[in-house]
Amino acid sequence: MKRLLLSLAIFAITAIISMTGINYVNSTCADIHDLLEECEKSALAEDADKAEESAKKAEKLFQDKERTLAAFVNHSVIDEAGVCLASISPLAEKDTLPEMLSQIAQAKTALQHIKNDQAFSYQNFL
Amino acid sequence: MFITIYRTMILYVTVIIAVRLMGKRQIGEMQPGELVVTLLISDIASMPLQDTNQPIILGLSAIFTLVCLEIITSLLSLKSVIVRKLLSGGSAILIKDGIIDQKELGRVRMTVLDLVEMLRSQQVFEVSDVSFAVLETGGSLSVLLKGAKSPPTAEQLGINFDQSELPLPVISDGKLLKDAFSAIGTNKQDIEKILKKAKIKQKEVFLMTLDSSGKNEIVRKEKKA
Repeated sequence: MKRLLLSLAIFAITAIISMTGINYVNSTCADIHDLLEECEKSALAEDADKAEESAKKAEKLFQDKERTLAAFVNHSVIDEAGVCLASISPLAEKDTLPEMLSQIAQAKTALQHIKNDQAFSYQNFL
Repeated sequence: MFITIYRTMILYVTVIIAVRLMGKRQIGEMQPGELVVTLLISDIASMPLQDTNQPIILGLSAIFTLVCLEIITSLLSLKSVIVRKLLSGGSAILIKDGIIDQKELGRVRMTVLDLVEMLRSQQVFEVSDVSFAVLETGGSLSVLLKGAKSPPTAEQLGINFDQSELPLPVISDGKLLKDAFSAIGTNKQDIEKILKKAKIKQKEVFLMTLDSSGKNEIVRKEKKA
């Protein structure tokens, strides 16, 4: 019985850490996604300065949370998102706005990969 | 490189905790479920070691989930015969009164040569000498020889001898092993008295065994050349 209680306690701790991890990943991805949406809107409105500002904010936020994310998500998926996010702000010029939009779309997909990696979905269970 | 060392240390400790949680049975003869868990744990533990892109927490949570499942299923097996039969199967009587049950042998998918080999490993060389041979769920063969072929016991031979006590190590490499004290009903003072009588210091003892009757054996440490 002692062993059962001990292992259940360890299992509960593991489950709590996992749930916390999933929530952290989801909220971080949602915050970065919102900034990318802002960036996309500004780019569509051809407001390069505002687009650059949002892109830099998204990049900074990702860099701040990258280490913690790495505890829960495959590191190669995080690297992929990091590269995409870092390449957005240098494109914030009038001539390169279409490229910027394509890079934003790529970054959003990379963020979706991060979310999907740990999501409670039947695709992940199968 | 340091990541691998650090991960190896974490997983080493985790696997030891996991095996200790599952109990001593895991180390000896294993039931089918226990074998599966042991194989899976070794495989899961190696994944975050080989691929440093994998977060270690995924490996740890998988190991602890397996341990929990193993403990829960073993507890259910204790409580329910049906669960035990489902998880571990049942034992099979392969030889009865010196006759091999060929149907049962086929059911457990074992050849007669395998059976003979297992009998030989138990020092049984004639199938006709066997009263019962049972293949246990852990895969071992238990053999009961026919009365006339069984080795006689001391009781049957009418030999009387003193009940021997179990000697336990009380000093190992100069260090007292206090865990054994209660089992043999002794204490530090008794040990010191024995050592004084034998004219030897505790730090000079390589091994000392003692039984509850006070019988002891002392092996001195070899002097360094």
